[in-house]
Amino acid sequence: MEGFLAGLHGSPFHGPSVEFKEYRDYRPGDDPRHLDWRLYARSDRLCIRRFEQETNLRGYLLVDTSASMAYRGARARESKLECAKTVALAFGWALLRQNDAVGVLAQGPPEPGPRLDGRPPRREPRLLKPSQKPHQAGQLLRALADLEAVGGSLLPDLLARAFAAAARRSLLVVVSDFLEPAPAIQQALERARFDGHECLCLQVLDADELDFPFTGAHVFEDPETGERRRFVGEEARERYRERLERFLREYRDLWNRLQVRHVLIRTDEEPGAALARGLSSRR
Amino acid sequence: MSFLHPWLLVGAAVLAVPLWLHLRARTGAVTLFPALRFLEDQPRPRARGFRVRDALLLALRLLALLLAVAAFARPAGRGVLVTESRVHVLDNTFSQQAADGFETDRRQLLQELAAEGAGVQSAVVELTGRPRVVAGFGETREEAGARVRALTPSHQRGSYLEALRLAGSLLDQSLGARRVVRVHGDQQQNQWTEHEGSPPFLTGATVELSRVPAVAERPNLSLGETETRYFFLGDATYVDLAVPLHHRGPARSVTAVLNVNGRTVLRQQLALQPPSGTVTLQGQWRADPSQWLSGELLLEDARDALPADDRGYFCLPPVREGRVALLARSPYLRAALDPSVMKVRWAAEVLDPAGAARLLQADERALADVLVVESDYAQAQAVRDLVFRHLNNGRGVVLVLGRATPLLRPFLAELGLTVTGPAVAGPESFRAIATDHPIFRPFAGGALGDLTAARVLRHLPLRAPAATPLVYGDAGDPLLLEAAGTRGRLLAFAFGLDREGSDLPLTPAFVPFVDLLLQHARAGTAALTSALPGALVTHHVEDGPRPREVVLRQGGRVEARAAVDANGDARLTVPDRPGFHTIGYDDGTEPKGMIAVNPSPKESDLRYEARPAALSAWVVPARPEQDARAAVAVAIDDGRLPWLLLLAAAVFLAAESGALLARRAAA
Repeated sequence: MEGFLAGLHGSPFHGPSVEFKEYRDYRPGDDPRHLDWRLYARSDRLCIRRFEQETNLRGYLLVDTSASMAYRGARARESKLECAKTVALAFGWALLRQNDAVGVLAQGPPEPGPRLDGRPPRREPRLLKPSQKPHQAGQLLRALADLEAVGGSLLPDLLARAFAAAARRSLLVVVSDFLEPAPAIQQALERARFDGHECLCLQVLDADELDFPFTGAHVFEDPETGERRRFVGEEARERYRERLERFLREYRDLWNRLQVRHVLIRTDEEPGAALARGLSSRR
Repeated sequence: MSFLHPWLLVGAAVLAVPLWLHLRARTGAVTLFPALRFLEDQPRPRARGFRVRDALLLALRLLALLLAVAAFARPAGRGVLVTESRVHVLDNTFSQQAADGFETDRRQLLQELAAEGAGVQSAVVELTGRPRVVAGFGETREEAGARVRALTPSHQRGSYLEALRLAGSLLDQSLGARRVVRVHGDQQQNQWTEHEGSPPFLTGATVELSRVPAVAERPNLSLGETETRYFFLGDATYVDLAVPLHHRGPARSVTAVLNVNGRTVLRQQLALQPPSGTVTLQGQWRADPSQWLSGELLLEDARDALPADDRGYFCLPPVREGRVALLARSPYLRAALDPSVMKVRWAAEVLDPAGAARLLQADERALADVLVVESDYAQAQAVRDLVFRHLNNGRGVVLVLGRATPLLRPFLAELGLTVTGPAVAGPESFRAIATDHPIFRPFAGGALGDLTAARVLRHLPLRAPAATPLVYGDAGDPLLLEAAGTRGRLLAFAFGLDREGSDLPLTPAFVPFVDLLLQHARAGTAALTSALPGALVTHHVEDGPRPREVVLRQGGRVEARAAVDANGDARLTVPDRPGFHTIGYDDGTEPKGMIAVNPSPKESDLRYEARPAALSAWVVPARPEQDARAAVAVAIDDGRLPWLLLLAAAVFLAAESGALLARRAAA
């Protein structure tokens, strides 16, 4: 994890948003982006600018709490949301150990009762501001433990809130099943890149959603939209997988294009191992 | 329609179960699945939609459950207001067989039952020897009618008093505002007058007589209770029979026929004196003392209103040697009871006071059939105690009172006999003799001798208000009495049977007289040989191996069985028809006894009462302002309806199951 994090934002003690500290002579192998060309022009000397981080990295753990995250298949170790919490907690813990500040952002449950204006009920965001203080680990744990999967599609709104919360360039770790259509969050991810945020997308999917092992006649209902479909498992499986693969491919294309890190985590795997494997394979 | 248990209709809530199952089945089980977008090409599930066969199945299930709930709630017919409760008393006694009285009254009763409205509660009581409820208020008209039709004419004697008491007890539990007893009978006079003096018992009810007797009396000839006994002349055994013949009407003669053991013994034409009277038929014939004797007396050509009483049955058991305990010095008594004289008939045991004391301690079975005690022996306390023991155990006692001592007078007083003065010197003859008494009747033919030839030389003046004098002397003193009020029979001579008391022992009539006297004294312990139709009788099993049960047969047909209890007694109900019945033990065919069944002679008295005075004595009239009862509405419980509903529910469930099976087979 630390290796990954190191690769994600460079040396733990150096980062793009740091103040200039000193020069040193250029040595072969140094990142030529850090050559100070003005000094070379004045002194005919190749020197590397050394920076100091003003603070450590700020990370936001964005956990999707939409209703689809509550699903738990027959072969899953836990529900997608529980898996997401585990993964987010592990990541946040690693950031804290690196003296990075980490916080949590998630959508709360909807306000009870219907709105008179007919709009969807309000959801208050749950924000744990990034901090690197020692007690932040406990705060992180409590904040994640209180999350419940309820409500419709929340990911685009979650990302928008993250942009509002993150005043400076931050690491945005998005933990979700990403079952919304790719175009729905494409704009958000593009904005994140534009604002200079680093994004890491951890997609948590259930084994049933990936493998579609169902047989016989079923009636399924979408927990977020209430849509229902009737099918026979053996007959629908192939087509389902095709559509799923196409959907995942769209996301992969999006992430690749936006240079967003992405890891797919199955709920029938041990979350930490799945995360480590996914991160290390990306290096 | 109302329900007897309406609260059970709450069970209709169970209808929600199939309804919920039906609705649930229409939607089917749904699974939440987030990645549904990848199944967008699959069809949306439609609601199963209305299918006629589903609706039919649901309807069948709901209907079956509804019918079952209704059945348990006991639907009742339309509630009705009961305004009158009516008890019909149907006279089914023997006298009703005259002029088809029973059939006439039964038809009338059935017509009235059929015509009664829904607001009338009806019950039927049958009057026989033991009045019984044939149909209660809870029975339907049809059931009551069927039971009335099933009744057969009876030969029993019944009491209007008992029938009306039973009707009154039914009315006490009735619902109607008005309470009525309707008597369907011939209004036989002696049935009303028999208990005319009973206090009132029927309050708040009205007694109606369904018909007025067409005539005040009907001509009838009937035979009364037959009395038979053995008597002996030398070694020959004879039977003496006496039976009263009652006649009423214009008949002037009738032929009487006596059949004994299947053989006609006597056929004689008798002259009758109209308009009414009683003639005693008497006969004597030689008989075999070792065999049961069964006889039948019938009146030929009677042409009367009730032919069924023109025949009488009787039976006599074989001569059974009786046991006499003799506490007397009289040589004449001892000689008369000598085995050579009284062989087969009596076995005498001469006792002394010590023997009396021993008998006091002995088992009851050691007691003799008759105890004969002279006054001198009665001085001993043990003898006096023995006298009471015999009487209390139903044994006979004959007291021969030659002398009365101060010690004797209280003893006699305890027996209801009072010596009013010193002994009176005679001679006195038997001035008046109760010739119709069983002891003296056999002497009427003269073959047994002349009792009037005897002389009483000395007698005690006795007074006994509760006793019946059988012989009076010339001075009007009773010389022989039969006391009442004791369980065993008590006969008392006012004179001694010795040379100082009388010369009766010296007459030829003495031995048969002693025999008949002892027979009469023992009669209380004799085996039962006659009974009324339908009566409950007790047969005692004599000493010997005790059988399991006693069986009553007529011909080869078993009429009744009864188990023998620890005392050797068996209680049987005699069949309701005249004739002979043999008593046997277990499966044996040897007759151990016989019973002659004859109707009660009272039923043959065909005089009728149009306005019986007994009703005014028994009935306290209803007082409208005080005894008025509110009419009660009662739901009619048709007991068949719940079963029909359950049956219908079962049919619907079977149909539903069949439909389901058919559907699955088709699938």
